[in-house]
Amino acid sequence: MKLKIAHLYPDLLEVYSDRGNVTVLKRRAEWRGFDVEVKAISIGDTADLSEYDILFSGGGEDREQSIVADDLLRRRSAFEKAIAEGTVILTICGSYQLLGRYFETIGGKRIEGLGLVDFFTVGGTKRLVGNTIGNLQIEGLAGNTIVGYENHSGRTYLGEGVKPLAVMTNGFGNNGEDRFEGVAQGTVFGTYMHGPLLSKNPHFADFLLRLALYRHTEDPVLIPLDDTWEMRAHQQIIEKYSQTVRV
Amino acid sequence: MNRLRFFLAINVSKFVKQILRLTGRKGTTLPGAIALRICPDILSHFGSKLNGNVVLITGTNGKTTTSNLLTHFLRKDGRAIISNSLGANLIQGIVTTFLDGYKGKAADGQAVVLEVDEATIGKVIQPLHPNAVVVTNFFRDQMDRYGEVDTVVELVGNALKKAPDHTMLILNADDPLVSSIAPEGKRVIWYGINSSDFSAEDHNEVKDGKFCRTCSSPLHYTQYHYGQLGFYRCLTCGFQRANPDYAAERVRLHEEGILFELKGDVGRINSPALYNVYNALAAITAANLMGVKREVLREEMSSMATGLGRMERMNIAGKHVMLTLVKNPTGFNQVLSVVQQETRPAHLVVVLNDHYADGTDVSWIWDTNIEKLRKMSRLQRIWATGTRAFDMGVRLKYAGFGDITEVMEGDIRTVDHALAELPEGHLLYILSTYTSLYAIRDHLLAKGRIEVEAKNRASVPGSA
Repeated sequence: MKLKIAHLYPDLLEVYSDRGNVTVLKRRAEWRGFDVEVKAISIGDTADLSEYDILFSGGGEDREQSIVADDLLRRRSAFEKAIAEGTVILTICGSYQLLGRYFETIGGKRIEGLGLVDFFTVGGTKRLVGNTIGNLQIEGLAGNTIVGYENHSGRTYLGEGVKPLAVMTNGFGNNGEDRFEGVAQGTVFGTYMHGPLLSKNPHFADFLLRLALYRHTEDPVLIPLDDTWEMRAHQQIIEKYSQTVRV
Repeated sequence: MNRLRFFLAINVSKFVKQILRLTGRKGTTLPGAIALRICPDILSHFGSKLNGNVVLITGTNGKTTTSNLLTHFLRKDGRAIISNSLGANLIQGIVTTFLDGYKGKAADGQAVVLEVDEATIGKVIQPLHPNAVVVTNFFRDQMDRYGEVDTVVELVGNALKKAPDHTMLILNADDPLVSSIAPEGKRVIWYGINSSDFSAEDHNEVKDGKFCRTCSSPLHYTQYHYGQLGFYRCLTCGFQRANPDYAAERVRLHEEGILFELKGDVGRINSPALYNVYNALAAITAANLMGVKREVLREEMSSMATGLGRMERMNIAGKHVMLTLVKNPTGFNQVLSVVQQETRPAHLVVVLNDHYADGTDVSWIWDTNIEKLRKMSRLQRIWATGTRAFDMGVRLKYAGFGDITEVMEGDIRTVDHALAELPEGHLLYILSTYTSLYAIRDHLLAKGRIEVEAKNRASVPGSA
């Protein structure tokens, strides 16, 4: 069996080294003996998204984000089909914003999103920057912490009943107001924790891998790995930054 | 201009400086901050007194090395120099630098070389009315401060538009992000690399400026030097690399250093990193414009040394060490290219810190091409250390170096450990983020068994 990962717009959405997450998913699957194929998909490429077990995309600067938005909208039904077939989707920052209904910039410009999850984003003047710590809210991982780094000016507000990925204890999260961070709906995830998020949160990486494997088997098993360094990196953030509470 | 305030500011801040010195502090910021409070237009006073003998250097990478090389050329030409060699490149630090160097009327004929932070250049470009402003390059760096590369490019672009009419803008032709901000109607001198052994027709390194800043179309390249630097052209709107006025030809490796040719003269740098050719070109161009005598420049450019902790080779009790600053993916990848060329067995210490001066976000290590060292069988051992040692360890593990990597807390302890274990004839590379760089260097010096192989003739301590 081969695990197929698609990296969407790696040439455009890669501003904070988000591609590290693909490396982490790939390696952690390979260390368990799975065959992994990673495919890059960008503007204009034809691709059946539901062929893939995991779709990943990162964040970009405003210029890149609006280029991507047009191409994404063209793929809306492909996304719907993939979600219906259990494909796991992880989006970060700029592409997270495009999962929602729309992104309205501070200048009043409106970028239409895919509308796959009910939330919207508006631009803010002050950038929300720094190390973040939160408690995961997703089933099976509740009680676990998640750590990362955020740097965004957009403020995201989740619709009624839409669940966040985590509730923040440190950092700003979606909007700096409701302490929510990211979104989790079925197999679709979005987060402002950019960069190599999964490298410091191996439990979340494995959660995504297991979820993806449901497409192939009813009871996916992942052999435990030695995550000593990963968890020390995770703990270092908690030890260093949990003191400085910001709202 | 209020002369009374000016003299008051000078005397009060000199007094403050002496007190700071007595309490054992360097005092690179506070005296300037106080002087600015007393006399907000103090830089205009200095600017007018120095009669335009001023060069400002800004950009992401290479500010310190370029300014050190230029300072060196000017000194050899017999000029007295005011320079912020301690790297205080924000406005308070720049004012402090002037206060330190200010000698009243005797200041006539002095030359001023300042490295200036990208967010500060807009505040100093008018009051100092410089002869020349150098812009080196733009890369993602310190994103926790600026958010986007575009923001920094715009900050500097707006500053250049405000440059006085006589100011020469010395711009890197090979960086599309730099050339996109060349303001219309200003005097621009371009520098760049025309031919080099290092260049490729294509590569997959991160390129921060892969889109045309005028029309957003992808840029088309016929040659890459590194990062987004190379021969670029926008097929949609025609934006393209300018033909450099100062062009390096035949850039090539030579005995642990780099050789190039420039208008018939030979340049030699004691470091094997390509980016230093740009630093050298910028410094030579500025020196030329400042009127440094041709024979002095020709002599000095044939043996240039880059600054402390910038690919610095050392010999410690018979063991070979290379110490260098790393702070962003492009710089890191350039160091990796050098490591790859190494013929001796190599060992690495990577010090990753996340203090404010390093950048609090260490995500960038995942944008480095460290995987490419896997092809290098001479790589023996890697130590990861620093305040984010485990992040670096994890990065190395996922790059496939888990079996030769060790994570150790305490950067100095790790360096000592790596040195002790280093076999004869092997080479130890120490790659460090900013806040540990000088501590490690001082530590090696304090051991009293260090001799700097390449004489650091042109170097003074500097900052990132």
